[in-house]
Amino acid sequence: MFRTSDIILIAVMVSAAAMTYKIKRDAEVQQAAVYKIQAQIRTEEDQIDLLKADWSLLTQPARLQRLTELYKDQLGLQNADARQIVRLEELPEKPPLTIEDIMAESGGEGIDKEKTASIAKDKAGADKSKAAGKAKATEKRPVAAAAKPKSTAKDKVASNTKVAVVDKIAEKIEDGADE
Amino acid sequence: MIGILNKLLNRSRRGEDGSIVVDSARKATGGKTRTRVVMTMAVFLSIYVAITGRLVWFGFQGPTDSGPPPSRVTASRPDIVDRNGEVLATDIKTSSLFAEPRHIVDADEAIEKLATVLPEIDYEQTYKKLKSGAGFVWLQRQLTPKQQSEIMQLGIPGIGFRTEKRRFYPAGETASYIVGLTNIDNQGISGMEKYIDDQGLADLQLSGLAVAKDLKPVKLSIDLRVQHIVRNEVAEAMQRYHAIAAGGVVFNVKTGEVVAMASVPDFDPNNPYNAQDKDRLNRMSAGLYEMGSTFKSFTTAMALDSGKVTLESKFDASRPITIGRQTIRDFHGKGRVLSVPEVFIYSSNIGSAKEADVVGIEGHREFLHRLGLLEKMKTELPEVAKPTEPRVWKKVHSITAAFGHGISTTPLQTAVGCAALMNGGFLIEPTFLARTADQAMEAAKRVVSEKTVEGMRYLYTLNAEKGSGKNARVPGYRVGGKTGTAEKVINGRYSKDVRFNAFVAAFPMDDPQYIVLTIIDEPKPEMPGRGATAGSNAAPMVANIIRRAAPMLGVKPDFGQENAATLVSY
Repeated sequence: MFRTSDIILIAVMVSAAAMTYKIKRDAEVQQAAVYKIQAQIRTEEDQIDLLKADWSLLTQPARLQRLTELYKDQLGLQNADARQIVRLEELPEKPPLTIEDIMAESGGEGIDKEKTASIAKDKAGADKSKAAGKAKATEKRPVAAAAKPKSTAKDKVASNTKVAVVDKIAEKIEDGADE
Repeated sequence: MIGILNKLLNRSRRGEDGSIVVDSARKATGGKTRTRVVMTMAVFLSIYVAITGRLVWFGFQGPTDSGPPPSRVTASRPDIVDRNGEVLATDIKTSSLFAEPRHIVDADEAIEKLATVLPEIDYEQTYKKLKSGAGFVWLQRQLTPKQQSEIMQLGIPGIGFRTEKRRFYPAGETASYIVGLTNIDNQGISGMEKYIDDQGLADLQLSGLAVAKDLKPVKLSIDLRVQHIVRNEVAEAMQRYHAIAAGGVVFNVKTGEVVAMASVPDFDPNNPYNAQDKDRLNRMSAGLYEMGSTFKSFTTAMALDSGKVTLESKFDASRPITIGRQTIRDFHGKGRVLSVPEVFIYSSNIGSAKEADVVGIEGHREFLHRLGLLEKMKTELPEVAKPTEPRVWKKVHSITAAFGHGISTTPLQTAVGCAALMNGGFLIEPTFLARTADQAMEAAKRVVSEKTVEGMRYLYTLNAEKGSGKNARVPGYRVGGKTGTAEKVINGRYSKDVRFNAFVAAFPMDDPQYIVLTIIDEPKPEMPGRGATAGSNAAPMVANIIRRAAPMLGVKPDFGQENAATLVSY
């Protein structure tokens, strides 16, 4: 009995020592990691400061002016005139868009141009117009004729952007094709 | 140790006094124990003495000259940013590479490794440095953090880095006078840098509490883009008119903020080798000038504000005024009776003198003080000159002051005074820190009546339409202003050819937002045969500044009111 308790105590002691050692060791590892991260943060911060200074150096109005003067001819740059500055409400209202205008100015590749713009805005819509574009390319005349009466009814929505209008037309064209 | 010695001695004494001593134990060891102990002690003692002696010797020895020089304690400073947050001054850490040749194992290898990061390194020179046997040599100053970490990765023994904080001004000379300079210890010595120190940063740094992270950036009222435009126009004008100096300021009349202020010649704060030169002076706030005809704005405003003069009043300007030895003539004499607007647009000295006469000498002096033109300006910038005026005002002083001679003030103050005549009659202290209109109005005081302001706005517009300020007009921005061509005093006399020109303008005239004032010192005609009056140099400077800066200042162009001045019913 005396020996068992001894052994137990020794075991406890050894395991306690082992545990302490392990904890201490882990703490040291963690500490080292913390130091490393702190050093990293410091260098990052310094780098940010430096990049900020670099950025403001590169965007100096004086530098930009030099560059614009240098590339004036190549890029066709001109000084802005006071007459070019207008408020939003001063813009003249856009004349209502009719299907004839779009047909006149687009053709096949016109639709394509709109399509790339609409991809950014609305993927689904873009896909539709793509399908429509194909349909249109194959049978141009009849589809246009089918779409025409419907679109005049919708002329009230002329304030919509061209892209949206094109999408709508595309939908209709699709409908027409199905019929 | 002493106790043991005593014991040993006691024992031997006891043996000698004749009492019975059992000696056998000592005999058994041959009586040598004592000697051995003593010997051991002596040996150890001598070792310790040697060590102590060596330590003392080291203590007296000076440290060997190895390692980098002691690091300079460079205190952190807050960033200075413009009103849009663009950096005007910032602290950047640079590190410099040094080597301790004594600890370099293989110089050739070290150079080869360094050359992978620093391709421009000079082999021969570096080799000589590393072989010199000196304690310490600089290899390369001011490395980027990237280069530093790459060199560290090389793991070359015997080299190290010293980091230093350096003040960096990305805008360079564009805003040099406003931002100011720091000395080698990172203390502000001029401009806003000095102001920041005076606000308690210096104490904070002394107590070691100025930690970079806690320092908020100082936001100035300056708009870097507008500042660049003003600096650019002013510098070009100085060249174009072969002047000795030029300057310009854009002042917000509603908030009292200085949006841009430039003076040339100036210096590059990143390399301020010439900052102490005699002609490097912020002329806008620290230069005193007789402002000339721009002062007629104040004379007219004073006359209108007194109530004794209206815009319909007439003054006889047909004959020069003679007072004492001086005769006052008109530059563009009309030789007839002039109304108040005519006095203003023809810039009649005689008419202005008579306007001042209506108010009286004391009244005149009081009015100029009220507009703060003769007080030392209170603002953040430390470089501010105190205006000069005659100690005792006599009639001649009032007459000359009416057209801006005989008293000198700073151009910035003139702009501030004009702002009061345009913004509804409130004198607002100029500031270089961001401020709102409401904050400005709290400290503002009324100096002239609404009616006077109305009259002055009309006169400014009229002068740009029909008078000397035609060249300052910018289509769409309704500019109004007043020229000033002052003769400079050369050897105690007013010179006919050496001039100081100024133009003060406000825009847009239907509701003035900004005052733009330009000065040009000793301009020559742009081409032979052309004039060198303010209308032909200072006014176009204003026009260029407004044309370029107005869109950035948020002033909307309006072409509907181009002929507003003639429509006003006078």
